[in-house]
Amino acid sequence: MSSSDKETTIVAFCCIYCAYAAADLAGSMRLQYPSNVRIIRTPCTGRLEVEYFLRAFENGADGVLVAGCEEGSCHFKEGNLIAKRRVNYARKLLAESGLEAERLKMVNVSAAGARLFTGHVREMAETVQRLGPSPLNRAKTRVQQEIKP
Amino acid sequence: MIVAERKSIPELLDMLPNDSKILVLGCGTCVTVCLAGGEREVSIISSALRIASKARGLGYEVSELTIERQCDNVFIEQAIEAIEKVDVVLSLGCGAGVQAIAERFLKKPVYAGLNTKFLGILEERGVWTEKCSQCGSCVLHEYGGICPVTRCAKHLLNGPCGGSREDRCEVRPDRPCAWQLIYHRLKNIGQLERLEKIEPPKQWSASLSGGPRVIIREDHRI
Amino acid sequence: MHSAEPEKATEKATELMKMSVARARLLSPLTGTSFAVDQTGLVIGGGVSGMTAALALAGQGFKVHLVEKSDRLGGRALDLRYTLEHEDISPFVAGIVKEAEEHPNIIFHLGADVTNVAGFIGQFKVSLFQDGTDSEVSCGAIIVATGAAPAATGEYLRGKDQGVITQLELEQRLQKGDFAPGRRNVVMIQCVGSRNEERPYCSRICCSMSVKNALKIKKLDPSAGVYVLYRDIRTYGFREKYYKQAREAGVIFIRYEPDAPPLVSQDNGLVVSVKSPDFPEPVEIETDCVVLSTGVDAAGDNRRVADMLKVPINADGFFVEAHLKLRPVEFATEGIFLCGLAHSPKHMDENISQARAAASRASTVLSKAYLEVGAQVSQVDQSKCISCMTCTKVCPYGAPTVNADHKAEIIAAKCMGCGICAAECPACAIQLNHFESRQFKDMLDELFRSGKEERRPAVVPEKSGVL
Repeated sequence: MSSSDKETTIVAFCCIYCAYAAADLAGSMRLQYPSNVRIIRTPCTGRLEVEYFLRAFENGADGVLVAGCEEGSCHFKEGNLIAKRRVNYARKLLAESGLEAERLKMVNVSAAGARLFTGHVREMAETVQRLGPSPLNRAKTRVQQEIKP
Repeated sequence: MIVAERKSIPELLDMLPNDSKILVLGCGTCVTVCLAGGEREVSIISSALRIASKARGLGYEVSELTIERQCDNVFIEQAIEAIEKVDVVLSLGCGAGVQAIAERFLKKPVYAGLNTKFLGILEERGVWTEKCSQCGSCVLHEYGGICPVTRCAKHLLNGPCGGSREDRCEVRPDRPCAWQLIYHRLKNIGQLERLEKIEPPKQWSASLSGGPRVIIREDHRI
Repeated sequence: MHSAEPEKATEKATELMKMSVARARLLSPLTGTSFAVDQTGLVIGGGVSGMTAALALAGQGFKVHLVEKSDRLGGRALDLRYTLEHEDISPFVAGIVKEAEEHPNIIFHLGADVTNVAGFIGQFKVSLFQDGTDSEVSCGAIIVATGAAPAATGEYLRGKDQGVITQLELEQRLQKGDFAPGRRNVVMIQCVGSRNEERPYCSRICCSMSVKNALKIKKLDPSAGVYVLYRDIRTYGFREKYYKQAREAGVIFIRYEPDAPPLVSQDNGLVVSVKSPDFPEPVEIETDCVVLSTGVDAAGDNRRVADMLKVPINADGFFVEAHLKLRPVEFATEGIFLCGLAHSPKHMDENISQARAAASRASTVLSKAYLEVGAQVSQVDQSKCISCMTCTKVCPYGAPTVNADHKAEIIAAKCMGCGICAAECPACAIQLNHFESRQFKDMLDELFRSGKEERRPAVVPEKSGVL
């Protein structure tokens, strides 16, 4: 990990049935992995809206991981496959908007995959380090108005 | 239903003026159903524009709103406050919606964020197909309810072209040959004899070829 | 976690807390519906763990289906003869089998395979295949006790020399009395095929097992030479005293290192040579019996069972509990519990404790006539629904339907709470209770909000109840 003053931030959306448990297990196993990851729990990766991925980047995330169950093992049959399709759509939008698509990645881990999970986080941290901080972090104010009719 | 497709972000960036306040305006009817211009797409496209603006220093200030229908002034009125605050409107309505907004706000630039494609239906998840090309003089009853004007690539009204391969259209092999469908359909409903009738040349003046169309209902006019 | 960088760990904790608070501001009380619980248990596996769990539930008055793949109850315990603490295991196993067989609340399915599992906590439907026919049983909770298998090996002339046997074989021979005393030496080799790349885990029971058998030999013939070649001796817990006893009885423990394992040759009778870091020179032991401690393999069927139940197994093939410390005998999937060797290699007393724990947890489900669930379900805001029916097409459970007003409506009892529809609805008309869009968005905003920026005004939850 780089020890620069302003550290980069990785947001990890973790399915409660697999990656969230794997992250928990990683803690119990005292595995060391990049500390700049911020985990958000979700009942299924199928719950995640394309907007969340974009909003994370819009707000200043340098990398976003979407961690769901292994394909074929989704607790809700196909939530992880739907998430994969949404992540691919968001990646396309990011690329069109001028951000590297690699900053957003879908991974699959089982609840036992503590090492796999920490490996994925490490890999994303490396990707972020290679690409540098998000270009959006140069100007960091979010201007947003939500108007109701 | 009107089916539309969103323009790519680079296309939108080309279109939108730098350093401007932009309202991304969605429409809650047809384009929401075809997943192109409803509240969710408004939110996604706005977010993408903010990202692009920050990444490339374009100076956008993006706000969001979705109204019930952009093709009706009653609903457009609900957007007045939001539209007056911005420099330009990026409409995610169909072509009709974009023009209705432009007509209502004389001095406000309105851009189309979608490409309005056709009248069609959702065939399966994520696949929309064209069913009607608004020719203005419907002949569906002659063809068992399958439109040769729209679904035959050559618009043939008197039998197939002979170029189809294994039920597929010669021009668009990913689509079925309309005439194959018409034949099976007429056979199923016992109306194969319809095929023996020669359809006279079509009156294309009822279509867009005759210039912009208008319908006037005297019984509804005041 | 992140013990090497405490400041950053604290920063992480602070930010996670901030995010959670942001989300908590928008939480609203949920009221669920209740549904009837099928107050019957189902245990997969008829070994000691499975029977113990079944008996524990049956003893509390619940009907229990006990499904055993083979046609005999007892499982791996049938191979055991004695433990470190107890002289004779067979009567114990026979006793528990008899107790189970005679229990009026236990319904046996011997020679049966589980072929499908449908439903959810309180209302599972389990398909069985038995004697060429399919059947279905209902239950409210499932306990997985599918056991494990002794690992096989071809190392150390196993299968090539009659004198090379496993600990289990030695134990059975010792009990039958056909392990001739007066042998010159017995050499036991630990960690055979274990703690290597192929089988990276420790099987936990082998050290105690060899100490147990070594003591037995010494008891039969105090002059017998018993050597235990080990990497680390772990006779954990109170079993440590038997290790001491074994040393006092003259059993010789010799350490070896994984990169220099013992060598067994049969050119001049069986000879084991080992290079120990504790001796300057390699040691050669002439012997006529080499005993291998081969460890425990996960049951080959675990993957299939795991897929049916939608529960995880680890890289070694054992089932994984929801949380190592906080939820040790249950899966993340509600209503499914685990115990015994299916979970990990361990001693029989530990398996029994775990089986009782699993039964105890399962009874928290079965003891309720009705369960309150279904609060975390999706809901359609009827005023926003445009009747596009996208939700009906994406839901894996067919929970959304068209109601009398031609709007989408979600049947709570069918909704599993995945939120796929909520994320898909193009009009943003659907919210998954407890995981609402604004809660996610506020977490993302809070995470990146610098101290100076103003917090956006808290939105009062629409459904806020009176507290």
